[in-house]
Amino acid sequence: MPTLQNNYATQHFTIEDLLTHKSGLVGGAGDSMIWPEPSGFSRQEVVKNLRYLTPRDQFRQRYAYSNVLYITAGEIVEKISGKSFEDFVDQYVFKPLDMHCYAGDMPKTAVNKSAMSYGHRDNEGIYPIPRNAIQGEALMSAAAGGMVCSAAEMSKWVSALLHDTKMDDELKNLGETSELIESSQQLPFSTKQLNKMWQSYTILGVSDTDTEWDSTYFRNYGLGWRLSNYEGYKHISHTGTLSGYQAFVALIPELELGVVVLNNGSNYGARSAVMQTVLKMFIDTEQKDWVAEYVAFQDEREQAYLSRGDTTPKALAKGTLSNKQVVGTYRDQWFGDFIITEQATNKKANILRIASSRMANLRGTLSAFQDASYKIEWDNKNAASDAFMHFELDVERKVIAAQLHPFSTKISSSHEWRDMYFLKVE
Amino acid sequence: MKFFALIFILLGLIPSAAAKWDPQALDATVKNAIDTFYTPGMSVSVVHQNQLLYAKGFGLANIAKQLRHSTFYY
Repeated sequence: MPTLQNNYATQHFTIEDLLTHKSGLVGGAGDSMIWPEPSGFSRQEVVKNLRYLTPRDQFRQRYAYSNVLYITAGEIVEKISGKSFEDFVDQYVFKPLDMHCYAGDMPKTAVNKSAMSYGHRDNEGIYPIPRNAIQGEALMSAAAGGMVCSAAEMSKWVSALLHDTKMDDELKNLGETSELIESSQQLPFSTKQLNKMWQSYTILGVSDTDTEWDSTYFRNYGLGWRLSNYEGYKHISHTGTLSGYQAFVALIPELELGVVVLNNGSNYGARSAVMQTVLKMFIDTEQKDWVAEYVAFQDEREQAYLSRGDTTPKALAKGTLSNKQVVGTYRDQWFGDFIITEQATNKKANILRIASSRMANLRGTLSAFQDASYKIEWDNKNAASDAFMHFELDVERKVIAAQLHPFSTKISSSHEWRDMYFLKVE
Repeated sequence: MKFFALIFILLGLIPSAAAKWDPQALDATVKNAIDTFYTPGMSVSVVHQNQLLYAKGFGLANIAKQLRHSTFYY
């Protein structure tokens, strides 16, 4: 089990706690070790570095999604089974269900058939996101979301889940013995575990839209699944989101219904509208134009966002540092180094470049903002959002350290840079 | 009497307000969804009562290669 800052959490942490998102960590804590791809961290390092992530909530207090704890769960699989996570999934999930899917290395023919990842910007249109494209090699983050599969192949997994649920119900009604249940199950784990996986562990929020659209009043998280009441049925689902790929799997066991939606875009409206359309086709309820519903929903959200006003910072004072003062290596105890160098240009002034020692796609240009604060503009706009780099000076005005913060007038305490403090080492 | 019978027959022919499985309508929704939400391609599968009811790809898996969504992977 991982070592966390909260001693009580460390002592009481269970396997289930790895899959229920209520460790106390901030949502997405530690994601900076995974994205932007390629990650420069090993799975062992991710687990070891959990101790540097400052909790926000009490242990088991509330939901906050964690990818790094899924990676930790993958490491436990490896430790207990003696097989790599990829081999384990291959042997115990894909092979028995005859699924042509990949958790690790892929044959070239499958790589060639795989979809490219795409994003969209109003001024650029649709553009590829090659850093997230399927390369055919195991991802460090595989246990958090690195499986390669087609919708048709995924349906075999969905079928097995539905089959075992139905069989369990039927045999229990007949008063059959558990041996018989075991002999006819398709999943690589018992129906007891299946039932456990789909019971509620963590409370999730419910929006007015959930209630209006689906008569949903309760949403919870099971073990790696979202659970809700949906038009009177138990609805079990999960989404998967990477920049450029979107996945959505939903099951309604009472209707013996399972749906898989996979796409290579970046707007959740596509998968959501299609999922709603399919599910409502099997339920005695009103069908709507779900594409139009999501367009209206997203417009409303955008208006609300815009009404909050412009949060782009505007400089109110001049910068007080010279390039020479800023250049150097800045080291955080777990995230590694940021290296700032001066680069000559054909213009009058030199520019400052910044690069992470661990994350190859965290490279950008540094420009003076105001006082001892600089703005980082990453080369890959899609990979990371612009950030402040606030330098710290000693009494002799020597730069001794730096901290990062999102480039916004809004002060945030739960951002990706919150647990990093970079000491200037040279 | 005849008049009422006719009304009942007509009502019987009108599809009920309750939605039902309609793969053509789903095709249309997927095409509309990928166009509207700037998504190059999508694949969808539906399993119902132990049957693979629907497994289809739409749009492009790769724009530069003009690779169509059919048996592609994610």
